[in-house]
Amino acid sequence: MAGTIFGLENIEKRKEKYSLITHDIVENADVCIVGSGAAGAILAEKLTNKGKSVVLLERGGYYDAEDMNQRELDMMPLLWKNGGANFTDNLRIVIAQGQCLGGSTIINDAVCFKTPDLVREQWRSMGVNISDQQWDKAIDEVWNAIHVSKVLEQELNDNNLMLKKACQLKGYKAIENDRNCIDCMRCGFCHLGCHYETKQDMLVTYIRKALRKPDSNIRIYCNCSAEKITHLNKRDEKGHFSIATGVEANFIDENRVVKYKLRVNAKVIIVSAGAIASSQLLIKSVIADGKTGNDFSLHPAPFLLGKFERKINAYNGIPMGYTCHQFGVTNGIPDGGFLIESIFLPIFQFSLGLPSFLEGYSGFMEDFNHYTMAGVLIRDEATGSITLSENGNPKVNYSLTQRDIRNISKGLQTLAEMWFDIGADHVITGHQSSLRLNSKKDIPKLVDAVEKDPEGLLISSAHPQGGNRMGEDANICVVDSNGKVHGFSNLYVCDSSIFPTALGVNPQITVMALATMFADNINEIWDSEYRAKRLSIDIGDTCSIEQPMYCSSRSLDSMFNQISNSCPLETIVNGDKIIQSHNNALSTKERIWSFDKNKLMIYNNRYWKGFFPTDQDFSLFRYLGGFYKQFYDENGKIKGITHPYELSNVFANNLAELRDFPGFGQVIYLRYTSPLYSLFYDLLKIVDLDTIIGKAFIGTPPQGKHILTFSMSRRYYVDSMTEHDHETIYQYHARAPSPDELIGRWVGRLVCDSAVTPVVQVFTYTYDIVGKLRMNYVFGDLLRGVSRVILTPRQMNMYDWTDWHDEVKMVKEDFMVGKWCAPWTELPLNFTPGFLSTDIDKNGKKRLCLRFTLKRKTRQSGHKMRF
Amino acid sequence: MTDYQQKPLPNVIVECFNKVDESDIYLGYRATDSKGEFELTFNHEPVKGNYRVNLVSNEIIKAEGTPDIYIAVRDGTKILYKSDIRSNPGELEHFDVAIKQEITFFDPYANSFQREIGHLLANVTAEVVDISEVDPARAAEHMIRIFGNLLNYNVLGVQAQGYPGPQVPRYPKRVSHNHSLPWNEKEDHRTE
Repeated sequence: MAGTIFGLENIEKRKEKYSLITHDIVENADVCIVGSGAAGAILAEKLTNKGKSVVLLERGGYYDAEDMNQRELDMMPLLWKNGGANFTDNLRIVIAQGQCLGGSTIINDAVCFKTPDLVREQWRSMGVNISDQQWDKAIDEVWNAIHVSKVLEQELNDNNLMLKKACQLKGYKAIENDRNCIDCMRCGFCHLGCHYETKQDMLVTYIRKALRKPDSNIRIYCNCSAEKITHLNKRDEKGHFSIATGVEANFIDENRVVKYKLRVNAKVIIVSAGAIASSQLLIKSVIADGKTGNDFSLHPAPFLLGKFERKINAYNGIPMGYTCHQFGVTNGIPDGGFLIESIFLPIFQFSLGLPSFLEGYSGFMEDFNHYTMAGVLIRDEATGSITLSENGNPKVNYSLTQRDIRNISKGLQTLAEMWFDIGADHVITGHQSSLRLNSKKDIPKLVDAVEKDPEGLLISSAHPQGGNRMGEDANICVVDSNGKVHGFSNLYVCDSSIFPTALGVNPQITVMALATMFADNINEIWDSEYRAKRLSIDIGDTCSIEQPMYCSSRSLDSMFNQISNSCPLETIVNGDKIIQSHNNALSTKERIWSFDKNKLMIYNNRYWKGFFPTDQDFSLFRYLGGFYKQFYDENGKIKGITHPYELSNVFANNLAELRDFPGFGQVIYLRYTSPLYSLFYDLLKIVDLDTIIGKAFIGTPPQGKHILTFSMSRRYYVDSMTEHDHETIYQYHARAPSPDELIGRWVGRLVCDSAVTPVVQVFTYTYDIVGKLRMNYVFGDLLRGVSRVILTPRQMNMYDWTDWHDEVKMVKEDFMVGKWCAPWTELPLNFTPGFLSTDIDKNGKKRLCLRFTLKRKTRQSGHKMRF
Repeated sequence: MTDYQQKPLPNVIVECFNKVDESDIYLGYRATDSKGEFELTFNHEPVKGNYRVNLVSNEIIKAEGTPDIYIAVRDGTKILYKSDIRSNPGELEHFDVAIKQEITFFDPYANSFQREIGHLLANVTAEVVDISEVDPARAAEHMIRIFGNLLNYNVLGVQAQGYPGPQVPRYPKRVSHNHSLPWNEKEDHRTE
């Protein structure tokens, strides 16, 4: 059985075997890999090749060579992360990354550099135990696999040749690049995907090999955003504290709508999502607290254009064919330094690099055919960081250091001199204060402008790296020298995020070499470490017959119409009656209501909680129209009451009987006996002891008109808790938190009897400047403020500028319950619809409350101080 | 399942129904695989019962006790195919489906300009940007440049400067084309 790619987009004429995703999916696999770029693709292929079942997740879509139409406006939204609109948090630097099957290897210029000797030594001195022999072996394997060869002199276009001529004049160390291409067509559209399949990217090499191997067991899921790595904290015999159990992901369409869900249970999980997304995923999953996201760098790269009298036509040919190594790490420069690389860009990307617009822009663009272009690639200091926004998106914090600024000005000065040396009429820079240099005499103005006003320089980056540092020191490093996350037995990170420092050269070969080494290591230790490991099976919140509350109406319809009634009618009776062998182990009280703190699951046998389908359109109905059904045995007859949550005095009596119905087989026919509701009836099918799917009809059975399909359950996750559940958990299953337990970011939902509500609160707990605990809140993306935090032996209280206050207790380390309460009053508060509830004290006084739950998002506060 | 040229049609949704009097009971759906094949399974028990109903007395009269199955293929709301009704189906029922109309495939380039603008707007919001660190004048200039150039890029005047632009059709999978490039046709096109 060959491998298959799955996705949401039904594009015609796929080259590889491809299937549409049409429903939620649960996968069980040996290995789950997040990200299909330079690392993920190699890991997938090498692990599949040794017989492992592999699930590979990719956020972007799958596009063949024939889908690459060389148009920037079409291809950038498809292949580039955020369509290319990927910035640092001060909007100064745009970061180019790929987001498609094959990752950044689809959109890069195919330049290949071996990991410099100096960098290997530096990393070893920082605790990375990889020998030169290991590096060389891995690099050789990759070099051959992706067909790397040197650009021939006759393949250089005029743009590359101009840089070569300039370097020769100066006597600088420089050479033609190595590239992973076979018979390159030299179209110049590398950034938009290779239409001709000459670029040996991951899609046409490792991914294709993995898919087409006859007994391959690889499933690749595209349009799939990994949201969380689930893990358990438990110590094993090797002293590991945590075990990763799986990945939860969403399938997201081109309009950013979540269409389906995915849950992967795996023995080993590898994160290869790229320098920014890998840190984002670890932070969201509360892994490597305080370490992940640090030491980020990005090879800032300003450029210079040389304008010449004659036409250069730099867009024709290999964009990056030649590099000057004189000032870089490849020439032994130990700290910082830079490469000067020939490059040219398709017209829209090129136009963005000119710091002018309107009339000035069109003047520059008229000379498009007369420019040479080269970039100065700085080996920067790793002082940046990745944090999360309130909605879980990555924020990239980065500033140039003084050393970086000096290297930039030196690099630009060098390049400007080189362009004038070979006869440039003038030089165009990316600095707004020194846009045009007419002769060498103007170069000091550029240097001055850069050093005094570095913010005025247009800079881009194509090599984000760092954030999950590799090394043996578990106190400061996220992963060890085999890519395994410290403290975990089965979680790995492998991509440029693990670089301890900026690399100083284009990074794809280094990333691929690391993936090769890590894959070999995992294969080697598989039998001793992972073969016997039992999968922890979890279905997450995917739609299935066991948890129909996560299903759409179409799925519920299909389930109802296909299943048979599986239990006797008496099963639906609520209360403390013993039902077969299901709840014999429970006490009488527990048979009515119990709470599993570890799994955060509620068992509620007071009644059957009703759930609308997930695609229920009417928000008002969803939040105010919730219902429950309660059944009891009266003289051998099963009777029931249907109650809306929001109207306590409204209910409908009914009688339950087993009947055969056309098209549905045997069902529980729920006849409403109250005259007001006699026009309605329900048909129910019992899925298992705690799950029912039902349909509501209006009219006379069996010809009634179907109104709604719904599900009911006695067992549900805390997200669906009712106000009563909340109060019980608050009173009997929670405690006051300690200050250190609170530090970090928490996201909250309001509790509503009728429906699961969206996340509306973000609470961030930090210590202030005098060491006092405080909480910053955001409510509904609109209200922001600060609350004072007071911890008592019973609970945590929080006070802001209103006369309401919060009372919060901790259930477990990542979950809390709380209520935002009005002052006590003697006024009757008997009607509290929707999110409002009423608390009553022992004296009969009442107060309004908004109940909520809080789940931990990070253990870091996410607030960075800039100095 | 095949198309009008008798080629296998992958990734097309097939839905299955049980016809009961005038009602269509929805049983489920599947997408065709890469060979254009699909498989739907369902439990006979619940759908058994080809009942008749006495419209006067509402009495249910059991008739044959078997399902009446058919399949349908839709493209959005348009029905492209509806099979005959198979009464008393066996354990395995085979449907040969020939779709005569054209299927609408996903257009990856549709609304690309709007999507690009959407990306830009989503990624310059306060959600991911630290407003305190942004130079508003320079950021505004940068954004104006991006928006302006997104439009200007398509202006013929710029391309008239001799930039040849893309060398393949916009829909390469639909329009036949060769893979030659004008600047590769010359023996040595360089002037250096």
